[in-house]
Amino acid sequence: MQEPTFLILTALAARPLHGYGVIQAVEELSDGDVRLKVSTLYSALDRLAEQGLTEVDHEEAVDGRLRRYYRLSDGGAAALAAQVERLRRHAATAETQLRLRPGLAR
Amino acid sequence: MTGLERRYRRLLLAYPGSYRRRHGDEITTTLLELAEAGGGRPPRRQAWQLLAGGLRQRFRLPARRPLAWLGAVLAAVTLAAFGAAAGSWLASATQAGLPGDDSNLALVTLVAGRDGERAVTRSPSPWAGRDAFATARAGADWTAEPARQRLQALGWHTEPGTVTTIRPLPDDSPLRDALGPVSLPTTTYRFLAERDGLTIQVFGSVREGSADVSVDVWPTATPLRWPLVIAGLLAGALAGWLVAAALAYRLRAAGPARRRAGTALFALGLVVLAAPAEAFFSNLARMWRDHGRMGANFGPEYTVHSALTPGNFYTSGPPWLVLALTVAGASVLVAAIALTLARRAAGQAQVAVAG
Repeated sequence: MQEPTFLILTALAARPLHGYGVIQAVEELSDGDVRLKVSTLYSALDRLAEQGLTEVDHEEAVDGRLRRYYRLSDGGAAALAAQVERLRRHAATAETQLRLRPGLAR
Repeated sequence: MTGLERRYRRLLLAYPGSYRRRHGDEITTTLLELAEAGGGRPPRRQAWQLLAGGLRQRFRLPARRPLAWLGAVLAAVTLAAFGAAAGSWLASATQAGLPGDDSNLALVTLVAGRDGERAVTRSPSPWAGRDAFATARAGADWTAEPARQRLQALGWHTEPGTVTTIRPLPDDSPLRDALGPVSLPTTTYRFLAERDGLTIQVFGSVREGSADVSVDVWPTATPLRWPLVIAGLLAGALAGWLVAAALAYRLRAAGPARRRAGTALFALGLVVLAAPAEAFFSNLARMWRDHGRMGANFGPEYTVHSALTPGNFYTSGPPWLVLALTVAGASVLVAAIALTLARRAAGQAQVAVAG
């Protein structure tokens, strides 16, 4: 799973968000490191919906503009949980390996 | 609609229509919200990003649809062959036309050096470009040099050519039984000449008491043919992929019956076009193999599109097989596209009625 995908799923985990909301949430989650392009965001949302990981939550019109909110599907939550577990395992392995490094203060 | 919104909507035209209908409004909202928050990217950079995103979307295929991938690859390969054929045809259309029968007969009379029995034939080839072949009976004292000089006097640039003499085998030769009797010594002359975008091959066969000469005329190979064939190949592959991608998305959104019918028709079209595509590719391979060796292989150059010329490209089947399969396959593909688009129009009509 690529980083933008991971961050989009993470952003949608807590609550449904519309496009601009996802961009803001991803920026906050990554401490400003990842600023999603609009084209990247919608391409990712489309792909995630095709894979059944996200779905449309609801739509609303604000000042005559359409806002479509997306939420994480059950499948998406499972995929995100699996990815979190994988990252946790990798992080733990990396820590162990670092501790084995000779000359490193313990 | 503000100027900014209009600008965004114009940029979104880079996206496929179905994608624009699905996401166009919300993307515009997001872009406007970003701009209002002061977080919009510099306009030019954002424009490029939207254009690139739109193009990428046009190439995308629905996720988890292995058949869509297979269809897109096969459509790209098939249409690449047709694109190469179109490029090859375009290149040949820029070449000089073949002279008429009267001109060919006049030319072979000039080469023969006298009036006499003459004939002209044209046998279009499914492998190579057009040519015209004229033969004439000449005097027994015919040689290449005077013919070459007569052609040069009319502005033809001639090449040195070859002279080969075949002598009868001695009576005691062990090869006589294998090769059969060669009763008369024969000398053959061959040379090329060029003028006004036409190349001719002069061939003379002189035996005791008689000589036969022939002139084969064909358009000189144009340096445009490779660029045009390669451009056609790439454009065809691109078109095949884009059409398959657009169909895949539309068929995915269609009802199951339409989806099955559209997929079956598209697959059938590709199957029918497989033989013509194979014929074009094998002519392309001939063209490539022969590339730069025209001097060694006298005759019109190989052309991709000539596979459509009626002939025995495939030894089994009627002479017009490749042409007929092309027309049939293209019709089926057009029907598959029409069926997919008709579904969309009907869907829109229903929405309009419901609205």
